[in-house]
Amino acid sequence: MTKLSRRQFCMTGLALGGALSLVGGLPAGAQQLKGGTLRVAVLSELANYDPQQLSTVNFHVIKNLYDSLIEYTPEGKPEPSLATAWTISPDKTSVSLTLRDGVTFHSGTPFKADSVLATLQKGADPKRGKNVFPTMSIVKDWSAPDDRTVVINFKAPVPERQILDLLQFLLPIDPKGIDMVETVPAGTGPYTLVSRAVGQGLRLKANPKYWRPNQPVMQDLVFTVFTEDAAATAALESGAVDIVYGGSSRSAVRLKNGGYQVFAGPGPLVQVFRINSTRGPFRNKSFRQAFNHLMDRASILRVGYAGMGQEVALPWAPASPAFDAAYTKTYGYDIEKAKKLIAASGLSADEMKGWKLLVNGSDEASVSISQIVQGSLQKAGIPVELDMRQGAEYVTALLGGDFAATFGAVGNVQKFPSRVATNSIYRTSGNPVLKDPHPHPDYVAAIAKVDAATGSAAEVKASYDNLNKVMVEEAFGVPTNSYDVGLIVASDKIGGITLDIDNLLVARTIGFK
Amino acid sequence: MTGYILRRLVQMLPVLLLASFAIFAMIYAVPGGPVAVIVGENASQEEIAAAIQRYGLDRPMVVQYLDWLGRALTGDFGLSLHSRQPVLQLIGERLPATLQLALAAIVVALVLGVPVAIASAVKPNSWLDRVLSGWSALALGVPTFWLGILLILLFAVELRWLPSASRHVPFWESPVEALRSLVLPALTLGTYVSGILARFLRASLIGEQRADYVRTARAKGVPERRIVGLHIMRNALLPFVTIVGLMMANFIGGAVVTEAVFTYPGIGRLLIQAISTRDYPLIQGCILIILVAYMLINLGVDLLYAWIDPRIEYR
Amino acid sequence: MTGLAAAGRLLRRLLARRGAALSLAFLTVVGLAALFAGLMPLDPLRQNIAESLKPPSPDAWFGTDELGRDILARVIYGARTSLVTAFGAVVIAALIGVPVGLVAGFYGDWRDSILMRCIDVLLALPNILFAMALIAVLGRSQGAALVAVGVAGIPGFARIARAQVMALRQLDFVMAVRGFGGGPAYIMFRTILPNALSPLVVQAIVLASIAILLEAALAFLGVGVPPPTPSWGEMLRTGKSYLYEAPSYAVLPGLVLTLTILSFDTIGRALTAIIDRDETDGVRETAGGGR
Repeated sequence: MTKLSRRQFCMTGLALGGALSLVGGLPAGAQQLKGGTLRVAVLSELANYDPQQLSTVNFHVIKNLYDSLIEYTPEGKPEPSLATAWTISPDKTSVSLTLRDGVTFHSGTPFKADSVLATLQKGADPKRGKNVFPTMSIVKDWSAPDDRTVVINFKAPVPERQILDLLQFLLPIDPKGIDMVETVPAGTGPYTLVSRAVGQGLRLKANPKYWRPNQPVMQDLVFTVFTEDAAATAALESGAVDIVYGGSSRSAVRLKNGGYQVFAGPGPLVQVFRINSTRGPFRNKSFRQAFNHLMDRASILRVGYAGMGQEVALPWAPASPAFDAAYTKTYGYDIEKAKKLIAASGLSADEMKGWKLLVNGSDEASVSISQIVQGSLQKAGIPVELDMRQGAEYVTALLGGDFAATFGAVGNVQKFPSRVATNSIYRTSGNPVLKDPHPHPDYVAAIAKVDAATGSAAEVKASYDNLNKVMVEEAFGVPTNSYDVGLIVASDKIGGITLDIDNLLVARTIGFK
Repeated sequence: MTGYILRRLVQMLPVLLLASFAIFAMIYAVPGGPVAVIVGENASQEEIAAAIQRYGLDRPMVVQYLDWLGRALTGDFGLSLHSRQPVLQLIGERLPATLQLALAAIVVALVLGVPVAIASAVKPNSWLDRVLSGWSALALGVPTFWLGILLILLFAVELRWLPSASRHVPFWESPVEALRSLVLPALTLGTYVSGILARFLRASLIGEQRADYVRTARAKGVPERRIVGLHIMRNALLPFVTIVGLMMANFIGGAVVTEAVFTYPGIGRLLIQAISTRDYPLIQGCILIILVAYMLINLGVDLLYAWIDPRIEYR
Repeated sequence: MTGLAAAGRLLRRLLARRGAALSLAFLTVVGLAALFAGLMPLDPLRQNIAESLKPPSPDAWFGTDELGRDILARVIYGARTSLVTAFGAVVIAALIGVPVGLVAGFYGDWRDSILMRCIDVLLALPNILFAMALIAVLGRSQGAALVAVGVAGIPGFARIARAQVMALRQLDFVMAVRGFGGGPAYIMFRTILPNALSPLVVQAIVLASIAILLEAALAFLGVGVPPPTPSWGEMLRTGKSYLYEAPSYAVLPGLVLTLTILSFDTIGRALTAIIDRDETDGVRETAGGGR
């Protein structure tokens, strides 16, 4: 409750002044940090420079080349960035933004309202909008009364948190470069691109005209692509890089014991045991509910993710407003409870077998945790086989909903709760697994209720509670644990790490101690 | 001679053509297409359809093949579906790494294998020969992935002298770094080759010792060292060259396991990755490169034969 | 009857060699353990996550894996996977390779050229890559692993069978059968094959060691027999990612795997020496397998 009310206060707060937040945004002790060249090992090849393609492979560059309209603190509190203030209308059908003065894009173009309009235009275009497009569905139109002001109108009243999510998701693009943004970065960010060697890495240098004072700390930022976790870790240990970004939890735990610093952001993924409720025994609700108790979450977290993360029975990260720890207890691992629910399903032993647990063979954690579930199922009297598929074959099955049950992580679990519906298994329409019409109308209704809850704090909370209750009852997705994505493991020489709400890499505050 | 080389090169073409079609056909037999990996698991039906069309994957297989072939003949092997980089560029980045590892492994094999073979062959069936034969059996039989793990445990985990995972550093850029990354994989692969080398070199050395010309030389009182060094070694070079050539050819794509143990960025792992993501143009490019390398190295071996032993003549 | 006597004689000569005798003893132990694993109080699948990644102890001689399963139990059951794959692969390779070699060698005409070109193509691609491609088509299973490894063994059998036919077909007794009106099939399979058996048996043993290595290599690369079925290669694969936490995890199963391969190899070489086969025949099929 206290968290919620504080957020409430901040959301409506006007003109949370630029100067004030700039001081607040600067990590303590940043003054003592020294500059130089920051060498970062990353585990994925960058796809492109479009900030609206927010896929994990682009996580390491986006916040270094671009700035958001607003930022969240790790606790989920909104802060000014390129927008110095935002005012949500009392009826919650529009938001008015004040844009920061004196900012220029890398090309030299001044940052004005036109770039925000162009960015909104791109986001609302089904072809160019990419990851931003679904979020834009709440937006009716937009306008710029003057160069420093932008007004966004919504189709219906929108919950405040959802409006803030949209603002945080918008990273203004230089209107001149917007058509080429996939190949040429066009942002206002703290670093500018120097060169890129595909498959090997890229080099950035400090933006001398950057608007945040004393940032970035480092003059040069060098990314090296490693195809494997072990190789990246070895590079860190041999001193060839200063930071590993996006490595595995297991390596992080080992390196932490070896004296390295480990930073886990507030935007983890949640591992979900996905159930195809249109098939075989899974059509039976009681049978599905048994799986809430068949997940040995403690073991799954320990074996799959070296204990880094949290056991969860709902698809929320702790930073999510819908997070509710009570469910983890109520729906904990309990073979006896599971057996009762299985018995209550009225299914015969034969009906309960005859399906296979699809496993992503390319993912080591999935292989171990699937075996744990296989063991639990065996204990509950349901022998199943594992169907191991590698790479493309697995994703194809996932994409086509061609499976009975499988583990798969979901994202957007720290944002506005209905954003969980961007993940395929939680989609309310066009769901590739559950198909149309959605077999769980209660769930669809619960998501709609969350989207419509624009009133009092109590109403909002009630809509979240309802969604949580429906999720465990329908049990087509059984979350097991949150785990870290975009983990930062740094040598002890590194200081000034800023955690991003989406676990993107924010290099501008990092320096040498 | 030039005519012979030209003819051999021309003979490769139909094989490559046939192989390229076979690969294309096989790719289509493999379940799961490349689209899923490109669009990601949360893609909508529209995105999937758009991607299929964009990459021309909705066309009949034969049309796709002819399209690919037409470009390949002009030296354009297309873009990787996954990274959107030219296939030739991706292969070009991995090939030096593969060659560097293969060469380093051969050097290790020569250093370990040749002395063992000579020492065994001097007195066949002596205790020394038996011990050394046991050693080569061990070198041959130990799976590279187990040997690699043992080396990593010793040199990276316990002693912390060398990195547990290797990367490719061109030797001429930074010899020290290159060696640090190469030592363990080269030792692993080289140990295995040294086993083969020692075993077959020993056999051919013993065979040559019994040959008439050696007896004649002995009878003439030519010093033993000169006999072994000059006469026997020279003639034992033939099978030796075969083995080294064969190993080189195999390592262009076949050192995948060693590459996997040390996460070494070679061609073999590029191909495995391409198969896993169903990156059709990249699969095609990798396999063809491996085949071409195999055939060229075999040609090279045959030419070396002629150079070593002038009695062999190619027409 | 004479075949049995010959086998007995061969066995006695084999046992006279210390290395071969030791190898045979080791393989017998592994084989018996695999065969009677069910009678032992060992469960390769029982998980106990509280006791995971423990070093060797009196309770678990080889320690426990990441799911707290007994590694020794998994090694013993893994022997089944290895031996079944090896046996199946040898059968497949022989069933296809031997007839191909016989036909090619017997006729020696265009049939020889075509068949041997095909065999050459099989040899040109490193057999591990070929096996992986085949598994990609067939899907991951015990059967797929077996077929993939078996196909990789075809060239070896084909070449030896061909060489044998070419050596035998002009000999008197073959000519005699031909004179009596024996058809090509009769001559190939009833006359030549029985007389070419010993090098083929040696090849089968050599191939068994290669098959075990290849199966383990495939599992190590993550495309072998799918878990939770125990497999030595899979244990090395998983063990490798726990090198820091539990060094013995990868070391002990690897030791058993290595000893098994070495034993087959030693016996194969001993037999070669006994029946005096030219050793260089083996170069091609040994090259590159699962490295």
